[in-house]
Amino acid sequence: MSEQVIGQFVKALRGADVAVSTSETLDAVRVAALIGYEHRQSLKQGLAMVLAKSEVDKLAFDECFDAFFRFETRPAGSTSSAPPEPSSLLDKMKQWMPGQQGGGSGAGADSELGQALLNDDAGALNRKVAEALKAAGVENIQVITQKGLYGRRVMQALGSDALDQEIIRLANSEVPADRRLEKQLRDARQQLREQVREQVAGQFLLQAREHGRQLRESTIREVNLRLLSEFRGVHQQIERMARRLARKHGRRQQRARRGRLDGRRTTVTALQHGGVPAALHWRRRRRQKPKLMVICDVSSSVSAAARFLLMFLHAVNDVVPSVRSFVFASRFAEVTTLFDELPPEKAIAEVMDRYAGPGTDYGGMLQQFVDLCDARIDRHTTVIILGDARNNDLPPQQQLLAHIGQRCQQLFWLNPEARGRWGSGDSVMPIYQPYCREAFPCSNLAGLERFVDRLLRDIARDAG
Amino acid sequence: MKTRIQSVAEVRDSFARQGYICNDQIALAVYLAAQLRKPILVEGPPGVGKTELAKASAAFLEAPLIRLQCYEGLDEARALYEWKYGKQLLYTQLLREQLGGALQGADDLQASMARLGDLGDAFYSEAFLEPRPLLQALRADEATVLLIDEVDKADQEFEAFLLELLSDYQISIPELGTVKARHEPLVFLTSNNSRELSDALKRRCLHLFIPFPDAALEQNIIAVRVPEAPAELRAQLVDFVQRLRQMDLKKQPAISESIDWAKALLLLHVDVLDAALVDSTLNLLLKHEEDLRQVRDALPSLISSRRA
Repeated sequence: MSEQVIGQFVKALRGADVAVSTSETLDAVRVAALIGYEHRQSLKQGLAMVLAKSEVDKLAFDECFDAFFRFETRPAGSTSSAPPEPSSLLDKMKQWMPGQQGGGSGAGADSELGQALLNDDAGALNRKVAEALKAAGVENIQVITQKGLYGRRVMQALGSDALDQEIIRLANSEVPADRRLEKQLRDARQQLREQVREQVAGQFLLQAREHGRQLRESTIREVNLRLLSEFRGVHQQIERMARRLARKHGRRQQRARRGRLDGRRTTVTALQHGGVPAALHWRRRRRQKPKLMVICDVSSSVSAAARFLLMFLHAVNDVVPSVRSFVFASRFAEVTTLFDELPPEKAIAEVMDRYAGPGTDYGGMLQQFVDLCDARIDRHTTVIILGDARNNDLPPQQQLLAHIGQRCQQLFWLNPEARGRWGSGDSVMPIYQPYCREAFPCSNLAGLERFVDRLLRDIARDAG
Repeated sequence: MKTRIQSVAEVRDSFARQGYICNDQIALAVYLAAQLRKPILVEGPPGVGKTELAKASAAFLEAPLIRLQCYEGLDEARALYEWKYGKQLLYTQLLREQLGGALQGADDLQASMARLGDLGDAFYSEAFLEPRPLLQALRADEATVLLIDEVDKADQEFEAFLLELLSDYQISIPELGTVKARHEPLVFLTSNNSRELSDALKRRCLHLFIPFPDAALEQNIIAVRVPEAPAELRAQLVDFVQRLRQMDLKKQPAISESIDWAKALLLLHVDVLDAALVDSTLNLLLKHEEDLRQVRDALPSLISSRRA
């Protein structure tokens, strides 16, 4: 019983983006059993201790708890799928039905549902509603606009068709008692509809928020970058992905700093002990700071990809502290300071505003990059170029790319076009490709994430 | 260790008797941890009594407190156990002759090896093992309260190393095998959140966040810790400190600092706070030059608005 309530609650929490593991759910069940449901405040604090383990999570937890346990001051008997205020529904129905004495035969209503409504048995009614919810498959609800549809299905599963017909029949009757009954049934039906609607809405909150989020996330990852700016919440998702990658690789970078045995120091100190190496000395491993230089084509054809790559790379700067960003379309410029000064979203808007435009010249870009940065490229530098390599039939200047490739640690090329289109038309991709350590197509966030993942892995390893 | 705890109120009352005044949440956390046999991860700004909580719990449970202070570079050798390398070396040197004797009469290499093998474990035995706090807690004759202080200061590998201890109360030592706790300790981990702890660690613990106390609670705490301070002064002092916490300071004054300040004011025989006095004793509350300057500039408004 309590497992079920906690299970539902955990589901709601997950929907609110709080990561709860199975073992934590089990802990929550034990905590609930230990504290009991009577002490609401203690229950809240206790569950918060096992379920929400950061400040962000605690905020979400408070909100969820208040919403979820609003009606659950005391969990009802067997119908435990979050029954919203059954007693109050019953009270209202009693008010409207002064003539009804509980436990009667349904006072003349023929339809099964009508009898149940007029019977003074909220528990039975709730059970019926719970069954109907299951029969209508409400747990499959995915988007909020389906609420009406599922509400109707639940009503049908409850047997509302027969009730509707009975109400129509009674409405046409001349007998005053029938008319009174019709009025009662109508009111009761309205009450029931509201109850069902609330339950369906509750189910949506519990189930679909989680499911819908997953659906949206996977869509966002797979959709082409060009179309991505249409989606809401893309920025948050990129940050989430970046945080995950940063955590993963940040950890690796903090490898043991103890290096090999320092033979010289060990021997020297051993002399004090008559040549017995009583104390061992170790070398410290020196950490190399990785450097990253990113050059993005921001001409209209590929600017979307540039936008997201820049967002990504600046979001992982915990791992890669030094990122220099350059953009070019018709002009070439460094935009690192923009990212230092402004929040990423604004910085990117500013970059696009200033530099986006038609007419890319890759040869010219390479020349300017070498002029500007040649001295700063060393064997700890990773250079990333993002662009479609469509050079408008200008000279490609591949010898400059070769030069960069030789000086830096590694050179990657990201191309927003699919591999099959590299080299078609004015694309000089096949000329550039041999000078890159690797070239990737990147048309969606999933591809971008894969690339950044791999990049950070390389960087962390080389820095170790 | 005391094994039966009746209720949350019992925990709270016992803490109060020891002069550790806390809200229900903290008492509840200790109660749950003792009942569920789970570690508690305590987070919060510095100086809100995280370490004190462990001490108070140890006193309440009548269990010895074993403390492991974490720092960057802390490794298993410091936290768990270490072979007494120097002693091992010394013994091999001193016992060289006996060793020679023991090997006498062995005809060939094989036989010598066999004899050495019989002796071999002598140098990796209990006598040469230096137990560090974690191993002490596991091998103690009674259940202990184990405080792993400032776990966020330790490296991430150490955090990973703790996981086995936290979930199963056991630790695997290559030379000795798995050491299981004779009596499961109650573990407190504290963190100032100087870095994010891993999800795996958080998952194994109850999570308790101790914020700065509200005015009423802080007054209670000072009343218990510095009972000689008059109520009037106490109210003024707490009010002032609470105001400071609203400001954008580098390091906000914690409870321990309010207590120190109250003690200092008492020494100076102060009954009522005034601007000059606050100015001259402010460095007890604020530990950064910038903060001091900022508060001094705002001092007239802080004091006058209180009188208003």
